[in-house]
Amino acid sequence: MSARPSRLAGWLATRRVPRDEREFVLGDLDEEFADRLGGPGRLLPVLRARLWYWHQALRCWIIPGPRRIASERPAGHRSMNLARDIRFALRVLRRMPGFTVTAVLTLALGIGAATGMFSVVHAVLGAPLPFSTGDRLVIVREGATLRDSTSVSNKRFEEWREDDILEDTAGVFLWDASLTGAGEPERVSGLRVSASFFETVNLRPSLGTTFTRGDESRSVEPKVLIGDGLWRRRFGAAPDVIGRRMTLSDVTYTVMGVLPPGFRLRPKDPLAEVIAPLRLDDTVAPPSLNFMTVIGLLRPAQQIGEARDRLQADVRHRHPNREPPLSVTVARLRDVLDAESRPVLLALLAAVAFLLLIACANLANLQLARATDRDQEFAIRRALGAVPGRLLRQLLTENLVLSAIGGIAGVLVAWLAVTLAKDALPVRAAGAYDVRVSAQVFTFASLMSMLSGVLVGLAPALAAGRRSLRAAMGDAGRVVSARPLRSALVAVEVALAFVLLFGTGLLTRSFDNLLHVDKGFDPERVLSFELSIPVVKYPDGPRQTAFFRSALEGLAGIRGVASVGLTNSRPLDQNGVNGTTPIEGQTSSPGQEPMPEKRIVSPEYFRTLGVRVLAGRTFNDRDAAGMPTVMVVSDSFARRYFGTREAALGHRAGFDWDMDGMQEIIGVVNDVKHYGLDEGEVPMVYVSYLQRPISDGAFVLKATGDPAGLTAAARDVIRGLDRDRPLTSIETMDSAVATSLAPRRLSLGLVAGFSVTGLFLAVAGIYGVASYLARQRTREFGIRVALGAASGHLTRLVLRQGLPPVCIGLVVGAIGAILLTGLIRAQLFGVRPTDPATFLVITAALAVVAIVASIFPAVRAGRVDPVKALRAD
Amino acid sequence: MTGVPTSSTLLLGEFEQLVILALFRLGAGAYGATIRREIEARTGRDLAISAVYVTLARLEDKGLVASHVGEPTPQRGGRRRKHFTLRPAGRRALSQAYQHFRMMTDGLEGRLETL
Repeated sequence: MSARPSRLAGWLATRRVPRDEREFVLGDLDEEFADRLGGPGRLLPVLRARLWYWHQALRCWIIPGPRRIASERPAGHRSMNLARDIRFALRVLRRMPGFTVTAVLTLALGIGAATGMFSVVHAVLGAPLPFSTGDRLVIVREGATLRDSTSVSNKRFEEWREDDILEDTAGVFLWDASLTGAGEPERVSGLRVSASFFETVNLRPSLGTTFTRGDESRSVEPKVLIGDGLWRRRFGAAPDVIGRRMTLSDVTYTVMGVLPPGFRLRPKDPLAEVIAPLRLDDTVAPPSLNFMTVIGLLRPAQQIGEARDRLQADVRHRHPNREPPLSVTVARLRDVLDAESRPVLLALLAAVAFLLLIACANLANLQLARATDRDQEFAIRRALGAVPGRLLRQLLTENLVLSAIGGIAGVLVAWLAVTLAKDALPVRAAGAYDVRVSAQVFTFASLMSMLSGVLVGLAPALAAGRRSLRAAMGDAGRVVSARPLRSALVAVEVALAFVLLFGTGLLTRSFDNLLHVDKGFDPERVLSFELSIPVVKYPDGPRQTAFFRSALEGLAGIRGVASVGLTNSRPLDQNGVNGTTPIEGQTSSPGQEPMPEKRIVSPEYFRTLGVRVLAGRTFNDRDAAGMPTVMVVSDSFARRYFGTREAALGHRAGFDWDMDGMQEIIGVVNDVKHYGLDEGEVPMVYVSYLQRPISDGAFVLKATGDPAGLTAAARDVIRGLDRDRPLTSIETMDSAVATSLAPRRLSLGLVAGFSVTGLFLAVAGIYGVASYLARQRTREFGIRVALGAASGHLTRLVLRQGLPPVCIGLVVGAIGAILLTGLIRAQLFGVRPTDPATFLVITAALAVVAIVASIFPAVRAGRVDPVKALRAD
Repeated sequence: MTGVPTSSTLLLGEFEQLVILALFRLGAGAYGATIRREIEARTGRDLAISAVYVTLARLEDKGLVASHVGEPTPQRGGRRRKHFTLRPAGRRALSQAYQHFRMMTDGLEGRLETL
């Protein structure tokens, strides 16, 4: 009885038995071993017992138990399984660094770009108005539709204010003034508002009080609320600022209160630094002048349509004889503010959606490739009793883990993208919009990554679930596969990339066209700044003209100044004045009158900005007050109303804006882009400041050298004339051009970024599928090579298999591009949405890239070494 | 053990039936080695001891079997025994399996014998 079981066998037998059960298993084995020794004979029983023990040990080690059926497990084990699934998923992902890194990068780029863009869109479109009554705020304008509507006159506002149709009605207009007194004079922006403004938008000063209706009277002392920044800058944040005096455009105001920090009427407006009451009478605001923005507050539950009908009925009742009858438009403030940016942002969102889809398709492709590689693993696990549902769950867990990592990386990318976008946003907009990756955006990204994980994860899991052991292990497994699905995904990627690239191509061409468009003026070496003189100090035309004439002379005397011009509104500054201009001898029906832009300039203005004279002459110093009044018109104005340039000369037209009678047209100049480089021909008429005095002007200085260096000397000249006049909006015309292109540059940059990322992902997809196809057929190619196939033949074989989905993708993409480019139609300039050249270039480029992406795996397939290929099996 | 499933929802696997029947036969004294030997002796199937333990653990998870650990014995190299007994749910599951088997084989005995 000295025989003892082998310790090695015992060790082996318990390897796969849970630790706390080993004692019992070993005990049972020992017990039975002992029993077997007890048989007849000495040697034989010992040998038999040992054999039996080893047999047991090996069986316990190889197949420790009958097949476990996962679905029979009690429900209490679920959470433990999840933790195990996650651990297992992490292990699997770590084992495939190539796949994991690619997938995470794909997710990070897709989710990151989408989240970043969502952040920008959210900040711009979803930014809350700075008013707590935001949802009920409406803009009331005259006109049948928002597009055709105008601001209203003082008189109309008074009528509506009396009507009591809306809960509150406020009149507002932008105002700016020269702040003088202690320190440098400066220009401050602000608003003139009716007393009801504060109630309407629910704005409370952080210090002091607001105005009353009585403060709108011209007989009381002027009052003002100042901005937080101004309060800190000029008054050192003194708490006793209330009641102090300050001089704005030579009028003394009493400070009533301080506004909360960061207040501006609309996101695109400058910060409001001064708010003063409307002080209107007919001399300041003639009834015909439509300058007032009316903001209304709907009553709770009041419908916008009902408010419109009542306001319109009211205005028609008051003015029954107007023909055509007056119309009123009421629109939510929010919608009005969004109207400009919405088309651009929606196009960008579409681009982002495409990028995300490409990323998902790419991910699905990666997953399918991996699932095919793991076919054998899954087949064996199925054969060993894993139910399909269990495998499905594990794959889904892997995908969700991957998505989670990708989502986190995506948030980092988003943060980076937002930081970059903020730098690219026009300065004013960047300050106004609170662009940052918010918690909402994080939720969006997480949901998106989860969703893409589940959607993408499902396909390979199902594919894996269908496969049989024999198919996976045998040769058949190399041919039957998810190939159609993968090819379809490649086609989808190519199609999406095509649309993105096509959009980018169109935007790039538009941008290029804009850079080379004839601006109508030469911005090179031109400095400009604005200057206004207060009517209080310069009450009449002669004094205003005298001031500007001295200024022009002084500025022309600066060393380095080639010439100086003056205008009421310089090109690209967004503020212009237009109005009806009757032409002598021509009658037009109401609504069809000529409505040119109106400019008041100095004689040297045209030469300074390089505007060419096409016919006749421009102004000279003899076209002054007391002389016959004259007018210069733009090329498009002359051609539109007189047929040819020359025909316009000698005719008379009425400038009509504070100018009596008709003016003789003495010259025609080329058209100048005023509101943006992308505008079409805008007819324009000019008169001389010597015949039509101005109090607000913009100077343009043509330099012989660096224009920015002239600023100090220009300031000295102006100070010499009037020490309280600040220079504002100092800018070179080159930078004005750049600023006017900034929004386009931004959206082009973003879309180009998406396209390049999308192209990169699509190329990865094409390459992935081509190399997968090649790898699948390695064995077959080995045999072919062994039988004498030329490598070129095999290369072509792989290409022929890989390229059809690319071609399908190109065709589908082309159709999609044509259908979808309408989205960016508004942003195109000088190029049609179906531009054939862009079309051909994109098609060719994508085709070349696709061929290059497939050619490496194809060539590799052609060079297959038959010995290695066959041995690998 | 909480949340014991009712016998009506539990179906026994083939090997589980063998283990439960062995337990039923052996009564109070059953443990790994005796169960393994009982099945092997009666059916002639070559069984790994670990298979018996895996199945017993599962039956215990399902609430059909209870276990308690005994004292160490020199015969087992100073190791303890783990004894198993059938719980009422186990008896019900066995009874149900037997009923199902009988119902399905009813009238087929003759033909089944000659297969």
